[in-house]
Amino acid sequence: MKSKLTLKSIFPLILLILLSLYTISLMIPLVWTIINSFKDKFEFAIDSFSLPTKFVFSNYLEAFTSMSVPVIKPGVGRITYPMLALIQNSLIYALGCAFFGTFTPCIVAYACAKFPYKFNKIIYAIVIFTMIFPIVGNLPSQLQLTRDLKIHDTLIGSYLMSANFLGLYFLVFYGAFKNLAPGYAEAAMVDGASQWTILTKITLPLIKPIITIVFVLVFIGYWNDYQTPMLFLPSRPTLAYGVYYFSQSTDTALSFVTMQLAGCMVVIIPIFLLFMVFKDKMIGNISFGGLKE
Amino acid sequence: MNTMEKKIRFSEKWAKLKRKLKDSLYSLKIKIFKQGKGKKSLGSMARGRLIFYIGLISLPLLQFLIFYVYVNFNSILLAFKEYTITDTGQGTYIWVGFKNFTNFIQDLFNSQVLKYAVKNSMTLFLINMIFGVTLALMFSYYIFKKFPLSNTFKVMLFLPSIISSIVMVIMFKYFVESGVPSFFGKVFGKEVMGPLSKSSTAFITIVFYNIWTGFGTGVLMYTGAMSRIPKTVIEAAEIDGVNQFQMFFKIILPLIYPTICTFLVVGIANLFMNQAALYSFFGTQADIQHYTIGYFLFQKVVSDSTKLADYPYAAAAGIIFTLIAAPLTLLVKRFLDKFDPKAEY
Repeated sequence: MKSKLTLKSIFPLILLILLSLYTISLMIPLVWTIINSFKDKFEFAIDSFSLPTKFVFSNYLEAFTSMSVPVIKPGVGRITYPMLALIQNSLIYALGCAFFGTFTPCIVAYACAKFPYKFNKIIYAIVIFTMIFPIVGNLPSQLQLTRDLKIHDTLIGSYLMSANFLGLYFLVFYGAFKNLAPGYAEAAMVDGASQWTILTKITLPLIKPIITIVFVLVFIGYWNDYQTPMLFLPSRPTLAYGVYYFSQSTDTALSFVTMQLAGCMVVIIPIFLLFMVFKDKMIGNISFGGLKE
Repeated sequence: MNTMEKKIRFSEKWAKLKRKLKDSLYSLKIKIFKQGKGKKSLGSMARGRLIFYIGLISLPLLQFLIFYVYVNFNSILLAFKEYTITDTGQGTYIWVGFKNFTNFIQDLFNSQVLKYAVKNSMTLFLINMIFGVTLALMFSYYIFKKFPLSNTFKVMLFLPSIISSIVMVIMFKYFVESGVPSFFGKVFGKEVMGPLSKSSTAFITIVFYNIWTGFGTGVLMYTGAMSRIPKTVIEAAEIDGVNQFQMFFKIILPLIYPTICTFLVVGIANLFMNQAALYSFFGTQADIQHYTIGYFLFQKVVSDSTKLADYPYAAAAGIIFTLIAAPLTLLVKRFLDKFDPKAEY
């Protein structure tokens, strides 16, 4: 029997067209940014759509020399942070916060999944509740708290704030631990291993793939976020904040645009590399039951 | 003779009591301090396990109590206060009861800013639900079925979530503001203003931007949920001869309905908190007509003109919105549960 060519039967084709359109719409500004970051700023002023007649690195050079963020430290004066310092700040901030942001939900999920205490129900309920219950506008209170505790504008403060066990990743770890075969840990326990040994030498290595993915995702989040460090760690401006700072500059010198585009590329490239390495593990695989093998 | 007997009986009883006490103390001592030679007794192992458990969760719990419980509790208290300068020049918070709340509720009905904010937030939410979620589901299905070019599309859909939002905004902003007009000028010879500078088209452009960059999380969740459906179910349907359209609407969607619901329910909170990237686009200078609730609250706290005195008002505003958002979340959940097809595999 011949199949009729109806709307229903070409459903995947329609999706293919839509997805292709979307891809093109995404690639155009991206490619535009890339080629213009390598284009001389005067060429850019004339025509921003053609390929550069010569690829120049001057924009990148300018970004590294001129893109600096001034910070006024009380009692010290005005310090400017050039691009390299911004990158360094971003790394320190993102790596530290990612570490705490990964391992805190990890160990709390481990406690909940592998220990038979009734309190686990409370912890689990807390996680679910905080994800669903909408709390709007507690930013003033947060700012006030960090000031009162004297941890405002400190790295320790940022690390402390990132060390919370709430959120999606708790559920991911919880599922992963629940799905772990208890045999290894039990065998170790019979042999007299301490709880600490079991955790560090047996269980954690078993879920290393999940820890890696979560760490990468959390790191990307902190690397990209400019608003949180802007509010809570203003004396250590990050790369993302630097890019924001320049985008809001009122100086209309055209050189800024190509330089900003170069700055954007510097922010993107490390993340893009990370993504290409880990992408298959991320999409379609993370679920609340841990990684699907 | 009587008192002698009584004395003996008493001392016997006392001896028995002492014996009992000593025995129980002794067995307790054994329980606590028994060192199995290389093997742990059940008692000390259970105790060790409990201590370890407490060690694992105590610091995170403390962090939670401080940075979540106390912060929100303080937020509520802050809303009832006002910041004033006393005669000595010291700044302090004094209790003013419901003044901030009444001020805000009055503003909610009278001030233009808040009217725009509420209207824009709702518009953004609805358009996102109608177009964003629908497209995300269909795109997820395409990727799940591994149709042609799935891997490429997978990367593209997720890319905006990976790239810093400020970078996406800048690329989009400059492309739209300088690229598009120059393109129109060259090809059509027309002078057009970039859509972001024209007030009438700016908001639509912002909405478009939010949907355009917002597919990542949805696709991540929906493909994950679809991958949990057992292959047998899909194969059975294929053997029965369903086409892709039917497969998507009649089989896949009902089976991942819980995931969709979770996403929608959590999305209610997003309605109130979404800044719609306005801060990334315009800093604190966004046009009042384009405000969203999230942006309103954020720039209240962050703008250069913010003083400590503005915090209580912002806190009160946040609480009012929370009081609206919370029951709304529950209502939406109830409403969605009614339509649950309760499909199971």
